[in-house]
This record gives sequence, C-alpha cells and structure tokens, in this order.
Amino acid sequence: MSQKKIMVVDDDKEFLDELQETLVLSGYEVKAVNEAAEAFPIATKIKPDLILLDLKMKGMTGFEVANKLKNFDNTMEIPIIAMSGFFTAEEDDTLLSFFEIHDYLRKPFNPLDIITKIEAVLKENRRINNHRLQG
Amino acid sequence: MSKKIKRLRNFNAQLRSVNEKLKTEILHRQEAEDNLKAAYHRLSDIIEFLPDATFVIDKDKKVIAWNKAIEEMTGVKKEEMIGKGDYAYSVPFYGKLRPLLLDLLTVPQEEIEAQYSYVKREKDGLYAEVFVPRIYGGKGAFVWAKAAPLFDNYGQIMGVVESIRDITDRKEAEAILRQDKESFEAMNKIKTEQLLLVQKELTDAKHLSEIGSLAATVAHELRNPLAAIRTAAYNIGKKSRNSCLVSHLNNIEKKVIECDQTINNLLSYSRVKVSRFEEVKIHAILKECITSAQDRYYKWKVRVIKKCNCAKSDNIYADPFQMRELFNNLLNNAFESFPEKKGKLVIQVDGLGNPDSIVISFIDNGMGINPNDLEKLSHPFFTTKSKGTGLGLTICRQLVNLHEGSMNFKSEIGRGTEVKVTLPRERKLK
Repeated sequence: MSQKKIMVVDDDKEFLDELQETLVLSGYEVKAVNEAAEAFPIATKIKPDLILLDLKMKGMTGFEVANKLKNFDNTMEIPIIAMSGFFTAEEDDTLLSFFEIHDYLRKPFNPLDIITKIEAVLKENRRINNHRLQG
Repeated sequence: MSKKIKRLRNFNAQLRSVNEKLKTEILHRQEAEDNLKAAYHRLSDIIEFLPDATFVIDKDKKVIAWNKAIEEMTGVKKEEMIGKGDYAYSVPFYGKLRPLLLDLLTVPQEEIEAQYSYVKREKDGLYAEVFVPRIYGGKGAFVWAKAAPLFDNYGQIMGVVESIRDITDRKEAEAILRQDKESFEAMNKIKTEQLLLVQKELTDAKHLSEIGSLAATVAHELRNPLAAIRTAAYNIGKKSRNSCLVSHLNNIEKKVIECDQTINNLLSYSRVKVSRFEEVKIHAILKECITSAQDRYYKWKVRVIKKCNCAKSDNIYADPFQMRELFNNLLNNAFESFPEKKGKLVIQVDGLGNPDSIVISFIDNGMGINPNDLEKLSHPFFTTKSKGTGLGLTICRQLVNLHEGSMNFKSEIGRGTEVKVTLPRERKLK
C-alpha cells in the first residue's frame, strides 16, 4: 500500500512540528501548513488523502477552510479530522456535520488516538470509494 | 234685705271671677296639651324618618315607636309592633325572644360582652357591634347598635331608644382589607425571598460570566501548548527508545492530563448547561466511571465494593454526559479522601422499593470532612486540596439540580464520608 499523504493545518508552530514528527514516525507522508489561508491552495496542489485541521486559527477559522474545501470538486472528497482546544465534541456535532468534518479530537489529545482516528477515516473512505467503483 | 242682696252680688262676682280664671286656666291647659301633642308628633316624625333603624320602648318595655327604616330592615310593620312587650321586638332580629341592647343598659358589662362581638359603654348609652341573623329577609347583616335611656322632667327613666345601622359593607371592606393585608404580607414575604434568591443567582451569574469568558479563552490558550507538550513527550519516547526516560515521559503525560482536567472543570462550571435527557443505563455509566477512576488511581490501594439493590436494567431519564461528569467528580473526591492512598470505597445503588427515584451512595472510610466545611462544600472555589479548582462539587450540585435530584453529605472526621445522590427516574414535565 502506498504511503498516505496527510496535510496538517495549525497556527501553533511547535505543535505543528511535533504532530508532523509523530505522523512521520508512524509512516505517513506529512505536509505541515502553518497558515490557515494557505490550506486551500496547498490542498488543491498536493491532493492529500486526509486533512487534520485546527478549528481556531488566526485570520481564518477551520470551519471557513473546511467550507472552502468542501465547495470545490477537486478537494471536496478529502476527509477532514478537526482538532481544537476550544470546543467539546458534544457541543459541536451539528457544526461538524454541517461542514462535513468526519471526526474530531480535542486538544491535548493522546497522539495514539489521532493515529487510530486517521486509520479509521481512511479505511471508511476506502470502503466508500470501492463501493463507488463497483457500483 | 239689701244686705243679703249685696252679699249675693258679691258672691256672684267672686264666682264669675273664679269662672274666668278657670276658663283661662283651661285655655292654657289646652294650649299646653296642643303644644305637647305637636311636640310628640314632631318627635314621632323625627324618629319615623331617621335614616337609622330606630325603635323606642317605654318603662314597661312596650314598643312605643318603630320607624320606617326598622320596618325595612326587619320587614315588620309599625302597626304589628306598637304596644308589644315581653321582648317581642327581638323576634324580627334573632327569631326568638331575648333581650336586645336596650334591655342591657343596667346589666353588668361582662354579661353583655358574652352576647356582642364588640361592646362599649359610654355615659350616654351602650354601643355594640353584632351579627344579626334574621334581618333583611333572613339574609342577616352585621349591625352597629346604640341604646340610650330617655328621661322625663324629673330625671326618671321613661323609656329606652335603640338605633341600628347596617355595617355589612364596612365589615366586608374590613375583611377584604385584612385579607389583602395578609395576602400582601404573604406575597411580600415570597417576593422578598425570590428577590434574595435572584440577587444571589445574579451574583453567581456575574461571577460565572466573568469566569465563563475567561475560562473559554484560557482553555484554548492552554490546551494548545498542552497538546504540543503531550505530542512532544510522545515523540521523545518514540525516538529515544530509552527505558530510563519512560517514567519521566509518563509524568509529563500525567501532568498534562491533570491540567486538562482543571480546564474541563473550569469550563464545565462556567458553561450554561442544558441537559439532554434520554433513557440511560445508569449502572453501565457508573461502572464505566468506576473503571476509569480505578485506572486514574491505579497505584492506590483502594478496595472498591459495588452493591446493587435494584435491577441492572433499571434505567432512568438523564443526560448521559452530565451523569458521567457527576460520577467522575464524586469518584475523584472519594479517592482523594484517602491521604494514605489506601482505603475502602463502597458504591451502592438503591432502587428497590422506590418507584420514583434511584439513590446512588458513595461511602468512603477516608479522612472525613470538618463539620465547619460541610456547608461550604458546594461553594465555588472552596477546596481543601492543595491542587484543584474547588469547582468539582459546585458542578455536581448544578448537575443534580438540573436533574431535579438532591445530594446530601454525611461525614465524620477520621471515619469517612457518605455522599448520597437521589435522582428521579422520570423527567418531571414543567
């Protein structure tokens, strides 16, 4: 199986570096994006298999980034996992599903949890794609 | 002869003079009698048209006056009453023969008081207030009565007059006023209590809103660096593969989780809570919370005993997230009550014999709570621990209140604490 490409968007530079390292150690190819505004153009260019998206960032919120990604053909299929220290999952179910965000992790999460979630979302995505190809 | 005639003439003159005098006297008397009659008629007229119901008895206690107003009040005509004695005048008032106020002028005060709700003696007569059942066609009325003696020229009592005034309207107004006053006072008391409560809530809310906005900002600002620290520790562990580092990295991890818990408490305290009620398996949630508490305190030697006095399938209507928060907080407190990190914790669920509610008790044999601290337990920021926000039990109290339940503490220093949470099974509709 080819190496999966994960794009991580977060405005906290140190966290971004550490998370990138965690994911690389787990065998993913990682593109770290420190500016919310750059998320969409970079996603269009590199077409990642999955995006880890911080929700509260300077200049542009994660919801705005998600909205943009879900509105364009070549990025709309990319699954998104949100990360934030601001909200709790129970509160944001509606918002998350509205922006078609697949899953959620509240900071400070256990790094093992994010890998479990990434794998789960990728597996689900593969299942949907296979189904589509067969159908 | 002439002498005789002279005497006769003289006598005749005297007789004429006496006759004249008598005539004048008779005229005077007639005049006086007319005057007296006129006066009597005037007096009768005055009595007759007095606005207050009035009647007069003579010294033999026979009715000699019965005016229009009393005819209206009693429905008994003057003709039927004039000349009647033997307390006949009391029948239209009470339906039986009995003395009225005017019969009591000479009776001692105590005897009168037994018959009238209010009585006052003044030098010109007696005043009283009483309910009279038979007047106004049996409707009855509250009356104010005055009885006064009538004297003749020689100062002898020749009769008694009694005036009666209907004061039902005034009485009713008084009753309404009294009732109004009472209900006003009661309402005032309730309002004052409500006001105090609202004031307290406002103070708390002000406190909360300040904490709320601060907490939300701080939460985000702290969770981001905590996330970086936790991930960094994980990466160090992965890259170094050095077993000497493991315990240090575990400590970092543990402290990050502690910080996160503090942030959660602050947030949960300040967040405006709305419960989402659903049917929950309260046993399952409790069991899950106990397991995770045992994981959190895995190094502690605490024997946890679970007792269940009800069916495992006993479900209640509650918010599952809030129930978890409640149990987690109470379990943390129970574990923290063991200064030696060892002890016994009994968790008991009682549901048998009570169709309306379920009782969950957390009984530890830890250090106990100082009696002075017991009432402060639910106050925000009250804590006896060196670390902790002092919000745990405040949150518990809020959560239990949201579920319309109750939470009680029993504690003895050195012996332990029992926390009893009572939760209704069904959601009461408001």
